[in-house]
Amino acid sequence: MNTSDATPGHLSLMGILRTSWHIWRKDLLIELRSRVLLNQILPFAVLVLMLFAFALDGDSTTLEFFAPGLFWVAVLLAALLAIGRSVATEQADATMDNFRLGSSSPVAVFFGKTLVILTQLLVLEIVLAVGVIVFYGARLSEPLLFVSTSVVATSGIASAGTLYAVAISKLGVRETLLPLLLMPALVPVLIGATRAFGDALGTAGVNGWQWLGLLGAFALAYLTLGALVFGSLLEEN
Amino acid sequence: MTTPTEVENPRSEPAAAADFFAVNSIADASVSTGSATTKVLGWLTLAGLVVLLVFAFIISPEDSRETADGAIIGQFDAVRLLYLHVPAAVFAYVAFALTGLGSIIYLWKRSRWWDHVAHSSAEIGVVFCGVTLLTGVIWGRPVWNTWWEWGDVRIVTTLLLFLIFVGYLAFRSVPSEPRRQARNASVLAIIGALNIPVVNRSVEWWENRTLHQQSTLEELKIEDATLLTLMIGFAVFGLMFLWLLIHRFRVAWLAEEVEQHGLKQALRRRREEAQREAMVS
Amino acid sequence: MGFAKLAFLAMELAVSLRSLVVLLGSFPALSGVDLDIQSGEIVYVRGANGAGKTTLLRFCAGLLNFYSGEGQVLGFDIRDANSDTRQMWRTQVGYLGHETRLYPDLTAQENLAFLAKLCRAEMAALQYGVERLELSQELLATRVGSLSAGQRRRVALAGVVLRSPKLWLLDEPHASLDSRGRSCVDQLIVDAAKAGATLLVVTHEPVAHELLEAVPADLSVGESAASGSATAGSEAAGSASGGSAIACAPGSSRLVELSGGAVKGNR
Repeated sequence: MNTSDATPGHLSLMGILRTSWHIWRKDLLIELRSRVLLNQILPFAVLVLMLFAFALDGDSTTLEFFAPGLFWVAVLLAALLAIGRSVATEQADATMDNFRLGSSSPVAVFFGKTLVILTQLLVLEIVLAVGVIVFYGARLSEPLLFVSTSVVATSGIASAGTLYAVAISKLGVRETLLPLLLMPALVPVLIGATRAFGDALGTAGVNGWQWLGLLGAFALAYLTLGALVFGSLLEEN
Repeated sequence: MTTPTEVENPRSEPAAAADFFAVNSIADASVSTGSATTKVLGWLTLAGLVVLLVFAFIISPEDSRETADGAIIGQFDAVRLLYLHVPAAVFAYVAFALTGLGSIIYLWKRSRWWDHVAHSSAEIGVVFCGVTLLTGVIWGRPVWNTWWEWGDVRIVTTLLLFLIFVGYLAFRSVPSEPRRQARNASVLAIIGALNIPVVNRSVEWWENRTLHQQSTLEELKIEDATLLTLMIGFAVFGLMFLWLLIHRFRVAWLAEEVEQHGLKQALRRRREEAQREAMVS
Repeated sequence: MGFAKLAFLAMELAVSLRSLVVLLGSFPALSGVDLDIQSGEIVYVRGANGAGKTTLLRFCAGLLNFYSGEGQVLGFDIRDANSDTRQMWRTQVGYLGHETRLYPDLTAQENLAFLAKLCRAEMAALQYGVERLELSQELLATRVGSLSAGQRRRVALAGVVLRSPKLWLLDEPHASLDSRGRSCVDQLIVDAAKAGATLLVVTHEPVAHELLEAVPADLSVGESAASGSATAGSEAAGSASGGSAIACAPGSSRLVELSGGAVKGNR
């Protein structure tokens, strides 16, 4: 009486993509209403750029030289807020149970939430890119590398972030624990993206495309890992 | 009602008090994590440490040699720190590898035994890792003329590893649903262990300049006494690791026993409560 | 009763649990529940705070793992840890907890549409839920954050209805509802049971006598292996006692008392 109800589309790729898309749309709708990214996280990221300028004595040569690294540290700090917000959205009224009771695969939830954070961070990076160009005098010498690095590195940040955030989502201390767990895991992304940006902004004589390979491998590893373990991370006991 | 503490149940308070003493009496009844094996291990470790100190400070020579132009170079007395530093580092990595392995087996077999092994091993690993970092920093000052060198892949990786597993222990120290915690901690440990090679490679690529991490041992004027002392260091740290691991594991095991005992009491109380209610109606 | 027998009965019993122990942390929220629920039956669960009512519902929804015991829910062996099986079990229940599980920044309509997509429900099912809970167009277009508690509760209930569940698990469905809302819910419960669904309803209020008697008394005794007397339709507290599966007509209801994490009078 039960097996006949199993829609073949439950675990199909299309089914997963469709549910991810619904989750993505839902979270973007929430963002459009609540404007947390726009009104809080974006200004904070710009503020971080300003703090770096104060810390480095406002020296334009130094700022231009270190712009790639400062850009990515600002992204990581803002990512912590975005990821925390993404989990808080689901934790406020136990909406995580809807995912568990729905007929979608947990993989879809993982991809959907990752996609949401990816989108938000990419918007944030556009603002930060303008920021480093205007405030730090960075020059875009390889736009294609710049864009691909942003997309690939941010995929890694978003997937690892979603994975860690859900692993600790039931804890009362999740806001303070997330940075400690997530940041060490993201060190390879910081290194790789900074190097690749060094090439894209013409401050370091390295081949940025090679670093893009490392970033791609990182993102792929976390996407695979997340798809494998996300179901068990969602379980309650 | 999500956590047990939220359950209002004033009636069971006297019973709870009785149980509290019951658990106490278990503790009083000389429950120990020691056994004949651990006593032998413990004494061996202690004796080994004494031997190691004698070898490290008295028998092994200081590191110095004459170059072609007559200058005396080497690490001098600072080399003696390596007898502590290198074994601690090696067994910190062994401990984290064991945590990773234990976590994989836990997720596979769902046996609490392996979860306790993973947890215990991580705690010892963090301590050893701390010793490694501390001795490394102290050693770096006279030899490299700097406390810390960001260009050195090993120390940067070790520091990051230290922080990853400090995070793991922080996660485990937050009280939460035990099975969920064990499961998620295993995932964290596996990701953490997988991070080691990734971090290592990326730091290595990050700065291709290295001080002398590949050659720490090769650069030394390896004399028999030096090598022997280092071997003793490995043996002593191996024994110490095993000794600590057994004790820590048994603590975790006993804690679970107490929890199981408490669970039985709680079940009994809860069933009594159910029966009492049935009588009333 | 052996499990082989339970499997035999699986087609008639929507829920069948034996000595079920469920832990929350290390606290036995359920300390040994024996419970049989026939398909099409309405079972009201009553009990003091902390008796384990919510845990029982969450377990039946497939949201919790158990410590010991055996049984089946909707034909799914509770010992089957396969995640696909678990998923199929979960999709067939409709669970309303204390939380409404709605996003305050979305309108009621958007929330319901998202829920429908998550469980692949038809738009017609959504529409049916909206009608049954009497949600006006104005209410649907309002952000859930600015709805009253009762209105939110009705939206959440519509979210349960649109799933067309086989097993309804309602945790105090009357909470924060006005009298019109309550009768609306009561009627919904009876209609769902008449349509063949099974309902497990946690309640703190005395269950209205006319509700328990809303079912014709002439119960046809089904082909159950156990010889329980058909007391459904009256306030037969504790009629879920060990092993006696009670055959009943769709829509019949009874009251079960839970205390100390066990069904009262089962030992």
